Order: sequence, then C-alpha cells, then structure tokens
Amino acid sequence: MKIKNAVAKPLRFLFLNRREFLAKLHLTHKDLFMRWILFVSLLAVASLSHAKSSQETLDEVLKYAQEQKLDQNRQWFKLLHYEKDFFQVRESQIDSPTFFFSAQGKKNPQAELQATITAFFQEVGEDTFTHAQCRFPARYKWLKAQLHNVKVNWPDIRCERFEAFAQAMKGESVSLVFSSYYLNNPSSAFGHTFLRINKAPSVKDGQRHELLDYGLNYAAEANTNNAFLYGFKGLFGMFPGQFRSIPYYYKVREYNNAESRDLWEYELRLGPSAVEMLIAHVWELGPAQIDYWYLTENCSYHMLSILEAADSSVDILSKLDQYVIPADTVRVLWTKTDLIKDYKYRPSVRQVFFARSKSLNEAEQNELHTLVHQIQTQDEISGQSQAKVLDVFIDYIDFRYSKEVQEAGREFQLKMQVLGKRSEIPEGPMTVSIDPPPEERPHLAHPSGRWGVGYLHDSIAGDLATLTHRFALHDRLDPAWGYPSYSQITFFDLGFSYGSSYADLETKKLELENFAAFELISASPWSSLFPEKSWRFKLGVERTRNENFLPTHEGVVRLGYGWTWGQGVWDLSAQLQGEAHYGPTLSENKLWAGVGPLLELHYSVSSWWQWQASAHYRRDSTWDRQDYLRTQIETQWSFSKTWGLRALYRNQRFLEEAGLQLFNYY
Amino acid sequence: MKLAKIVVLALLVSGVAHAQKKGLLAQASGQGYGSAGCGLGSIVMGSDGNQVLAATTNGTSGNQTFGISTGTLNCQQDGIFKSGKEVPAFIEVNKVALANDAARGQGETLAGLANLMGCNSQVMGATLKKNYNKIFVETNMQPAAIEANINQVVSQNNVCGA
Repeated sequence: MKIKNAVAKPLRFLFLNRREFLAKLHLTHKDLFMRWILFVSLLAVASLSHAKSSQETLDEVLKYAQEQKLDQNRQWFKLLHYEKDFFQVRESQIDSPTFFFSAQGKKNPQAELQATITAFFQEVGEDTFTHAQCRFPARYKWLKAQLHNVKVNWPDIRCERFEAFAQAMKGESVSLVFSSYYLNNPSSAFGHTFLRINKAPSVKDGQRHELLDYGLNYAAEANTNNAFLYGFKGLFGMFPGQFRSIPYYYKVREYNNAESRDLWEYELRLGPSAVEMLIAHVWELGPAQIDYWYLTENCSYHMLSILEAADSSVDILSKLDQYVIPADTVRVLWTKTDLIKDYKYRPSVRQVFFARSKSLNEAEQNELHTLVHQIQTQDEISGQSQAKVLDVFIDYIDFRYSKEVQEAGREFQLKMQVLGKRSEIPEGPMTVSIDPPPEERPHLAHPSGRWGVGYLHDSIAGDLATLTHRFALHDRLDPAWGYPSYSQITFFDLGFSYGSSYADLETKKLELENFAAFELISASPWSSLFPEKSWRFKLGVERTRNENFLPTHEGVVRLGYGWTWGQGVWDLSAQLQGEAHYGPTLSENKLWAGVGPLLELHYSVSSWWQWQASAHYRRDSTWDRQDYLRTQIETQWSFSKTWGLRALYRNQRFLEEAGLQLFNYY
Repeated sequence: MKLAKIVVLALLVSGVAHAQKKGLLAQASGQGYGSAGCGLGSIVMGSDGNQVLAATTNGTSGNQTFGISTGTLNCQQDGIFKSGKEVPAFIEVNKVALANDAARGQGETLAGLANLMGCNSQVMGATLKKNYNKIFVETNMQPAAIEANINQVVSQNNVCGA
C-alpha cells in the first residue's frame, strides 16, 4: 500500500484540484487565471517527475524489490536454480559464471537480484542480443509481474532474436515425454524424459501435427562411448549438461525408429502464460553450463526444475527422493500431483510391426515369411503380395534393419523395391492403434528403490538375519508393473547378513554378502523373424561360498550369452556364462575364473506372482574342487506395488540355503 | 591358472567388443540420417564438439546460441530453423518414414510435410504415391534430390493450389 501511495500522490493532488475547479465554475476571471497557472505548473511538475532519470527508476525498483522481499520469492529461487544441496547449503545448480550478474550470484540470491535489476536498466549497446533483458527474458517477465501493482517506467527493449525463438517455439501446452528403456545403450537403461511444447492446431488445416512441435531436451554432452567411463563420469557430475531445443520429429526418429523405444507423452496442466515463461526460461539456460549428475541432477530432474521455474504453483521436486529416476518422475507426477491432464502412447516401429502382423491370416503369415526369407538370402523380392502383407513387411524391414535402411546398401535397395510395389497398390494402410495393457504403462510402475529384511537358514552357519537395499530398478520377480518384461536392470544392490561366521561358529558377525554395482539381464525371446540373443552381465562384490576356501569377499565380473525361448507367461534361457573372481584376502590364487552353462526357467502366474528356477554348472580354474553346481528356485508374491514376499531355496551340494525376505518398494 | 587367464582375457575382449559395438551402433544410427544439407543427423547420441563450433561460427558474439544437439551450421540459429530451412531439414531427418508414407499414400510424416509446404495432405499423398519412383528411387534417397523432385511434381500437379 505504501508504495502505491508514493506513486499516486502527485496524481491525486492534481485530480482533487481539477474536481474543485470543475465544481466552482462561477469563479472570477482572475481566480480562473490563477487556477489555470496553478494547473499548468502542476502539470509541468508532474511530467517532470514522470520523466525521472532511469537511475531514479532503477533506485525505485530496487527499493520495491527490497520492500517486497523479492529476493526470497520462491520463483526467484527457481529461476536461478537455488536449491539446498546435500549439506543443506543453498546455492545455484548452474555452474557457468555468465548466468549471474553478481560475483556472489551463485550463492547470494539478494546480491544477484540487485545486480540483475541494475543490468535490466543498463543502456542498450550496439547489439540488444547481449543486453540483460534479452539474455534473461524470464527474470525480466517475472520482475515485472511481481511489481505489477506499482507504476514503473520499464525500460523495455526489443529482443529480436529471443522473439524469433519464442515465436517459433510458441505453444498452447506442454507434454512431458518419457522414452522407454533401452538396454543396449548404457545411458538409456533407466529411460529418458524431455519436454515437448505443443503448438496450436495448424491454421492451414486445423490439425495438430505433433511432428512439427519442438522438444526441449537436457542431456549430458557425453564424450565417451566406454560404458565404464560413462558410468563413472556420469555418477560424479563430470559431464557438462546442456539444454537444447530439438524438433520433435528428430526425437521420434531417434527413439521410435532407430532404437525401437516407445514414447509416452504426458500432457501437463500448464497455462499459456506458464508456457511462455517456460520458453523464456529455457532461453536463459541455453548457454548455461550445468554439471550433469546421472542420479540426481539429471534429465528428469531438470525437466521438472524448469517447470517449477515457469509456474510457481508447480511443486514436484519436493515429492521426489534425492535420486531422480526417469520412470519415478512419471509415476510421481501421476500418483502424487494432478498435473497430468492426459497421456498418449507413441509405439515404436517394433510395436507397430507386431500390431500389424496380428491382422494377418495364416496364408498371409506364410507370405510374409517368404518375403523375410527373400530379403535375407536373395537379391530380388518377387511375388505378388497385397497391401496388408507389404505393410507388415515394410515395418519388419524398418525394425530389423533400422540402420541399413538409412544407407544405400543391399537392404536399402531391396526395401526400395518393396516400397515401389506398395506404391502401385491403391489401397491405403490399416490404421494402427495400440493400447498397451495397464501393466506396461510406466506411470503405473512399482517404485524403483527396494528394502528387504529376511531370514536365511544355512546348513553350515545356521540361522542368519538378512538385510538388503537396492537402489534401482527392477528384477524379474518384482511385481511386473511398468518395466519391460524379459529384463532386469539392477543398479547398486547391497545385501548383508548377520549370524554365525563360518570360521568360528560361536561369534556372530555382520557380513557384506552381495554388492551389485550393475546387474543387467536381457532375455528377449528368440523367434525365426527376430533371432535375438539373450545376455546377462554383473559387476560387483560377492562373499563367495565354495568348497575350496572359507567365505571370502571377492570382486566379480560375470557375463552370460545365449538364447531365450518362450512366450507369454513362461520362458527358458540357455546361456554360457563366464566369470572372473579376484579375492585380495586369499592366500593363493587371488585371481581365478570359471565357465559353464546356465539354464533358467521363468514362469509368471500373474503380474503379482512370479517363479524362477535355475541350474548352473561351472568348471573352475586352479582349485582342488573344480566342479561347481548350483540349483535354485525362487518365487515372489507381491501383495501390492510396494510390498512383496520372496522365498528362496538354493543347493550348492556342500551347502543348502532356504530363506524368506520381505520387500518394501519405495 | 592358464584357464583363468584365458577366461579373463575372453571376458575383457568381449567387454571391449561390446562397448565398441555400441559405439559403432551409435555412430551409424546417427549418421544414417544424412550427411549433407543441414547436418541435422550428424549426431544422435551426441559425441563431438559440433555445438561449440556452431556457436562460434554462427557469427554470434556471445555464447547465447541455443542450438540443437547437432551440427546446425546451415539451418539453425538459436535453436530454431532459419526461414526456408524447415522443409529440407524435415525431409532429411524423416526420409525413411516419408518414403513409407508416400508408398502407402498417407501417414503422419506425409501430413507433417504437407502442412509445412502448405499443401493438402490427401492430394499430396496421392501425388507422391503416383510419383514414388521419381521421388525416392531415382534420387537414391538423397535428401536434396528428394526435395527438388517433390517440389517439381507438386508444382506440376498444382497440389498446393498456388
């Protein structure tokens, strides 16, 4: 109120006088003349005070900002990305000095606000592009909105490049897009999220063309293809992260076509002014340097952080754990906020193929197999096929030879023949609409973290208590909701036991039993159309139990490769597995290895109840007893997406174990 | 001990081979999107410093350039397409899907291109289907040639009414 009065005072004074003047129309000429002089001089004073120097206006704005405590405003924090870190210290997550006007900007919101406001009032140089208003349009918009109830003569300038950007990006709403898991790329095993600005329907034909929208992506500018380096650098914030705008069609081709990953598009409840703010804010972040942290400040985190900056009513980050996993963000958005208005599924070329091929009858299936045989073995595609079969075949080629069809090679030439034939048939293609069952929707997934407490009976050590914690993500006995079936993605799984030690059965000890830094299983079933291999990989530490030495902690690398057969509720994997152990505390043979076959049967009674049984024989190097045999059976019954009970029986000839574990997913 | 060494060696070799395969795949799937024109497809997984290059050679004084994650020397400024560059970039990235749609006479990609060019997508679908060979086969799927031939058949057949 105080502020309002200060500005309105001269105006009100003038107004009162004028009313007085109008009320007393019967005044003398002299009076009138005097009044007129007064009126004019007041007007002059008013206009003089109106044309304050920009320095005065700046001082005023600085004063208002201080009075209204704008430096403590939530959206100011969000626009500058001030967040409390692990040690509860508040500082900006942006790492480039050019993002701040104050030298203390990274840590001091007040100093940065003052410096920013001062920069907004600076003279325009040769190029408006480098001016504070043009570099930080969201901050400027926010400041003006905060001070909307006071009269300020804002020194607005035109920012042509930003305006062109905002015009091109312009949209009515925003979608958060989730791309599903891709085990063959280490950076994609957890999925990925990015934003899409949804344009208004085209004025030309009244239709929405999603392909013509722009996407906003935040990703690590990774400079290595080495999986281990990637993991290490990613975990410790050693890659620079960058915001990029990218045509949505580019993302569709990358995910749906090149990598055969499904896209889930979640339309958010975000008003048009928030969309404008989002575009302005993302412009500010374009040149910013941000350290990319694979587990915390990652793509998903910053998609949410810019949404919070764009709309002060959005509050999601506080509902997430310290670690942000893409799949968890869509689950949290779905279950803990009402931000999701609607969602859409955009199937990968693989899913389109399977959906289309279901419409073929037996004769048509045979025809398709003939065509597949031809593309594999011949240089000509012959025979007269209908549109239906050719359409399925085109999808097949695109999926199976996604790389080759981009290049002018053999498959490309054959595909050209197929398309040529197809273009001669007037019939249009069948419309494909796929509605994945609830179990496959990522927003309905079980939470990815897992605690477990349990009991284990061991035929040598007796009774043991067990405690486990898995950081992420999913194994094949977990409730089968939201994650790809046929695969396991375990990251940072720790298991401890408490009980008698082998060396001295009288003393009880807490022991690390298992640590999996990574454990990946891909058990895609083999089929004649898609002869896929299955594989598994583990890197970690195990407390090895065998007949040659007492239980010992060893570093372990394990790799398995083979095939999986089956469909629907059951599958059987046969793999050859090799492993290397390194036990620093062993007195001899610190490094040893083994190799042998593994058979594993998986059976799914329902998405809540799964069975898995395996037999593994291994021939070891070095030791006296070189034959190792292990059989085991496990089952998990999940009461809900957050609780499950798992039972295990394992036989290693010299040792039998039976255990029960209660899991909580969080 | 000998067996141990062999197994360890085998594991290492397969590990490296796997990593290399990933690298190749990443490169190939990206490069496949075309090497001429906008250079839009030059990186999919992101692995080189083109962005920095784009920022400095674009003639922008500062580091404000808001680019897309690819070499965007010709077609983009500040992360958006320069006028007149939308169509070539669209064709370059979408050529495989566009060829499919053209052969089938309809589809989302074809509708997107029709909209960019200001054409009726049904009429354009029929026209591209009829001229499939000319546009996609005779050009050997070179983006610039595809674009030229599309323009030609579209104007010959008055598809866009202008």
